[in-house]
Amino acid sequence: MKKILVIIFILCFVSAVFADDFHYENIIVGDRASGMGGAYIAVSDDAAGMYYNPAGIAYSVGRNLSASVNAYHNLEKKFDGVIGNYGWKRSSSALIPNFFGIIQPVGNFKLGLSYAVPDSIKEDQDQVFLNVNANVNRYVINLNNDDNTYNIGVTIAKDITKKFATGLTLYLHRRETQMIFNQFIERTTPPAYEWTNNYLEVTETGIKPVLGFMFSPVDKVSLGLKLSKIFIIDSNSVYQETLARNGYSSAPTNLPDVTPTAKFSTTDSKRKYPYNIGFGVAYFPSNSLIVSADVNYYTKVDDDIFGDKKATLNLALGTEYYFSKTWAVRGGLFTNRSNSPNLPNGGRTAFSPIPEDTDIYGASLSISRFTRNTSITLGGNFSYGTGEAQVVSGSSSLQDETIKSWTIFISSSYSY
Amino acid sequence: MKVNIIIIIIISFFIASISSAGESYRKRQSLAEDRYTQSDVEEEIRFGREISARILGRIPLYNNKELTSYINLLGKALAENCSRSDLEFYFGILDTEEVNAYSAPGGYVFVTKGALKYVNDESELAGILAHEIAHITERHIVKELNIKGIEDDPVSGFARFIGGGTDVAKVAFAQAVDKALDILFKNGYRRENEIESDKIAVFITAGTNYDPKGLLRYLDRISALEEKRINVGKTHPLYEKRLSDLENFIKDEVGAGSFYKNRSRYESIIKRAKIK
Repeated sequence: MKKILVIIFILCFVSAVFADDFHYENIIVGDRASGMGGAYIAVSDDAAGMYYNPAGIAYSVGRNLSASVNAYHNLEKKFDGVIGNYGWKRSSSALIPNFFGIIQPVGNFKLGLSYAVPDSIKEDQDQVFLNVNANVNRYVINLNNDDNTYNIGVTIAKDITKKFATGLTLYLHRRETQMIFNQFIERTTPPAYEWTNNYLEVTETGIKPVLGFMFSPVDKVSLGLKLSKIFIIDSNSVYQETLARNGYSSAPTNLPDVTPTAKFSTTDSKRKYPYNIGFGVAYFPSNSLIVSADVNYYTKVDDDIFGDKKATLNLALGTEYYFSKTWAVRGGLFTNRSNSPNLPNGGRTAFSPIPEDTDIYGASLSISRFTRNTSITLGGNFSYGTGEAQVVSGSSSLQDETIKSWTIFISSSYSY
Repeated sequence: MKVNIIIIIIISFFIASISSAGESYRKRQSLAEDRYTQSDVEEEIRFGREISARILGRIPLYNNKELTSYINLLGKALAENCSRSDLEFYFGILDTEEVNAYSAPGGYVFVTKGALKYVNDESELAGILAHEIAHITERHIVKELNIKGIEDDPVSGFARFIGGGTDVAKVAFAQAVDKALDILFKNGYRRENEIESDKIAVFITAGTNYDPKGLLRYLDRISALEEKRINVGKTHPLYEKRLSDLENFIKDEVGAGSFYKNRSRYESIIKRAKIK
């Protein structure tokens, strides 16, 4: 659906423009996992296992393992027909230290330490739209938005039998958001302007336990199960809006003049996160091939402040093939489906993001070069989706949305 | 309801897993066993030297020049018939009444003064030394702890560069030394490693013309001591099956032959060293 909006609605634009809150699998974490589309719950036998299924590290090969991943992540969202005939395009790109992990055997246990960045947005936008319509000759947007989620934590895992293992990762969850959104709208004849500045800061701290189980019911087949949820312990959110308007009081806009006015709101409400139940199956037909599949289910969330989320199911398929002792390729397919409640959704607050209902589908590929103790991997993934978004607060109008995302990464791992 | 389903799934998988296959299928082609490089051997020696220093930090050497010279002559003769010509072997006597013998990777072998008291001839001592040499030649600790040298490969160097692995390697080395000492003084080698060393010791002693049954006689004697709970190191488990396996192995692989025991030479040296 495509609807041309009157520009003045933009005055009520995005009160909060967040990281991709309406999708759960925004950045695929890990070395091998990134190439395999994130289908890793039943594999998990290296450092990335601490993130996907901590039970898996009980079966890690080698005494000590470490891995680090550095990724360049790009996200582009385009909302059609928002600004007159113009689309509104937002893009984010950032170099992310995506993952670091180290595993150490201690007695009959495997202990680990890992750091992951499952979501990161860095937007810098500076756009000018000219002659949008009769009421707007110039529309300027300046947006700066940083929204990062960090997980750092410890893992303990134990193989209870040779075919059954369990593990627990306890992550410290930290999310920091800072957004400055400046809009200036100008009409030359007769002269009129409106200026809006929005500032949003959200800092939240919590814990994210990840409980995992790994089973091998038959030879060469592994089943993985993981349960996790983020529990927010402390949260602080500040929203500030400053508005000034002059000259738009006559028809057809009929908006009163406003001397510069600042509005503040704060909340210590804690964002609610879903339970994540992940199930994976992996088949190891030989020492050169793995095929794996994951299902991740996220429960429904009722959150009046930060926005409701519907129950969501994501799938991933991955494979890894060693065409020699020193080279391997990986490939994967994955979904990143929208958790947005049905649109239009009239319940937005200053702290809730733009509702969008766009399912994303992606593919990944990587290649690794091994030496005896180390490996280097180069890879990337691309995802794409189209759907709808409800960009303008207070309006039930929906806009077509297109999301494109790509990531390239380089990673290394060692065993000692 | 959901929680109950999850619990049922977990229990079902656990029960199913008890009687099913292991996890060896996880080993990827990139981790397949590779030949050992010069760098690996250098690291093995460095590692063994560190362990030996730690052993001697716990138990001092028994300072008797003639006995030390004798055991080195005997040990080096045996080492001539082992599979590791890339190593220089060193032998020493530890000044303790505990009945035991130790070896560290890289060629370091120690036998205790207490053990020498229960040895009756040179072939038995040869059997003990050959058993310890076999732990070294078969790299039992090296494999258990995955001791490897630093790779010269540029890919490996780049991987370390972007991952900052140097400090991790240093920590791993120190931890591996501790684990090796745990193997030597607390936990012992794997059972299969002990049996393998017994068998290789048979070939080494027979190849040097010592009676391969020397080790068997010594182990049998020590086994009786253990039953009486006399001061025997617990890291070389003695059990009936081990002895019977060894006896059968000697019968099958060596058979009857003319081998030296050198009882009188051993006794006279031990007497001069005032061990017994």
